Amino acid sequence: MSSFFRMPSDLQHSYLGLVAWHLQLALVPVLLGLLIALPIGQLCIRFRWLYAPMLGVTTVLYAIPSLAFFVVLIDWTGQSDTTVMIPLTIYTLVILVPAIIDGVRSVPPETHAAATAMGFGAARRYFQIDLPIAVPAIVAGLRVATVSSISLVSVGALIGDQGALGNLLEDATQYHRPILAWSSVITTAVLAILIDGLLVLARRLLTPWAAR
Amino acid sequence: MRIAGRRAGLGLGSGAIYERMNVDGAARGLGKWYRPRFCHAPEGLCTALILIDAVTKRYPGGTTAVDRLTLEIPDGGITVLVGPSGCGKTTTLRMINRMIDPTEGRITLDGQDIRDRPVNALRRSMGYVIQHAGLFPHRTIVENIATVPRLLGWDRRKARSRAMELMERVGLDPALAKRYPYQLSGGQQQRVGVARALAADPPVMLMDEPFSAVDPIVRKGLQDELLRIQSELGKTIVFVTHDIDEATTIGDMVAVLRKGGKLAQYAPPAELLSAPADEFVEDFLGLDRGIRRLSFFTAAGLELTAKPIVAVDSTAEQINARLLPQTPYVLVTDTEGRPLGWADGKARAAGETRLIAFGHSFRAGRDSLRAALDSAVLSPTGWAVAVDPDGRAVGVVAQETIAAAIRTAHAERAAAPTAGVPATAAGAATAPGPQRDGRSDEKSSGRSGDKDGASAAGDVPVR
Repeated sequence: MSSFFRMPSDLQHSYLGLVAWHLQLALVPVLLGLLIALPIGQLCIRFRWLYAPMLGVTTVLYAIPSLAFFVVLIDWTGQSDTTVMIPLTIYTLVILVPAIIDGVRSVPPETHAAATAMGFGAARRYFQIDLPIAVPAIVAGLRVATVSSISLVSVGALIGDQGALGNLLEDATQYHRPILAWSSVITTAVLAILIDGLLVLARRLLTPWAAR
Repeated sequence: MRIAGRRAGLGLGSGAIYERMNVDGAARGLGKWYRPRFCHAPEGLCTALILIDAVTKRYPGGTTAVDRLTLEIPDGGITVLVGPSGCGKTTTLRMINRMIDPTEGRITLDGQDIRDRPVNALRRSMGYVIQHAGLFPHRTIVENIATVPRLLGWDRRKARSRAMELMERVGLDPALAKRYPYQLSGGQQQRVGVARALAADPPVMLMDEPFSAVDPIVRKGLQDELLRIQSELGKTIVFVTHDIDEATTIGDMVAVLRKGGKLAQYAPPAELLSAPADEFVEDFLGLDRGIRRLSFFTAAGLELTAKPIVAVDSTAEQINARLLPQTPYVLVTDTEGRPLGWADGKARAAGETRLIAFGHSFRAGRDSLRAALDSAVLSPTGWAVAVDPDGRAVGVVAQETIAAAIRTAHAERAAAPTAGVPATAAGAATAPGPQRDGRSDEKSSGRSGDKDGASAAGDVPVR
């Protein structure tokens, strides 16, 4: 059992070190994705015609294999965390942009009208009314984006030891230690479930007002 | 200070309006049910006069939502905009707080063009109530109500205590303060909507079909509550509905709009029901406008008889002594005097105990002829039962007697020369602005003297 947690020295990380690194590679792109998706979503709501082309672009980007991204990016950003995080960030957009748009559109029209009629300016209405009411839909998007991101980090192994827990897969074959593969797969799955649970908890705390 | 300034700013001309409105209110007998709101308003009470001046709204596609609409919305009263869907009533309402901008014409509030004020400041000075309440689902009830005070920069504690005060005013249990909107019934949510609109004590309230989405019983309760609150606060309320019954129940003035946003008639409800301007208005009022008009006649003058009322434990002899020649029936009450049902007098004297349901009773001296007539029509015996505030039967009256009272009331109304055509209607059509000279003013007060007598005959919305 101890070999489940004992990492080969070439990885230069303890088990927990790998877990922390994995989380960093997976979650920073989700946060960046959210920050980029919010204004894009708002633009798509303002200018309805933007939504279809925007969705097309994000979908096409999602269809580009990560390996292709790495090949292009490695000239610029080298064999680094950044090279892994840029494609992951782009991938989250295809989930987060529609989630935000659906969320803001889920604000009942009479609530929106009431806010306007009561003298909320556009910015205040967005931050105090639209966005908070969109939280359940946004969190739903974040859950999918996060889980997908956690599993996708492993591909970083393709550019040489940039896959965190994914690096264990290569070592498993190299050192004939299948337990390392198990360690990689099971730990990734457990991380995904835990983070997903945290997001559900966060949504409950953030939205005590949602009917259950 | 603000209010005093605004009042002063109205100048001489608007004094005439105040005077005229007051006269009008008295003539229509409103004072009996409302405090005379127009000039005896309590200290610090805000009211405002809205003028819609030849306003047109055309959309790019070419549809005309509102067509050269001119309306003088009196301050301190409830003005109802009513009409079928597509008549531009909501558009009109939304132009008042600039959620929609008119294509032509202008709207003034107390003589000032509404475009001269910053839009959000204007909106914060107008309470807004909407169908389905439109509460903020993510905010508690007390936070919802405190919204506008917070926008106006009140500190949290003051806004909260104001919100709690308003919950009480609209009849909400303070225990609901920390709840979220989804935990409330539709009727309660709508009360929160009203409280939220009242929170910053705006002089104007805009209400867009606020009670359309709740069931009839709750709606009746909300209407009564609105009238009660209005009698205390005297706001200038513009109320949109498609329900003509609601319009005539709550409106001091009713504007009937037709498709395409044209004004069909602008009149107090009693006049609307008695003298619809054209076929469209008549159709819109429906087949029972004659019956509905009876709401404006009091049943106080009805001659009641207490003779055929017997207690449940009466003897055969007692029952026989109370029989009327006009009807074989007697009304049986419990020992407290509350009605139980009708019975054939002779049969009951002979020992028959079965009772005939009496439908519903009406309150003697308070309800309208409409309620009395309905009670008589519902009763299988053709007699209506009048009760006192404690529910004890005080007398009964036959359909025939009510019919005679209706004829008398109509005759009295017809005899009063100007009754049913109050100055407001004429004034609104001819003088949209507050520019009236002192002379016409005197004239209208002179007229009101004659009208007071007539209004006693029943130009009173009996609610």
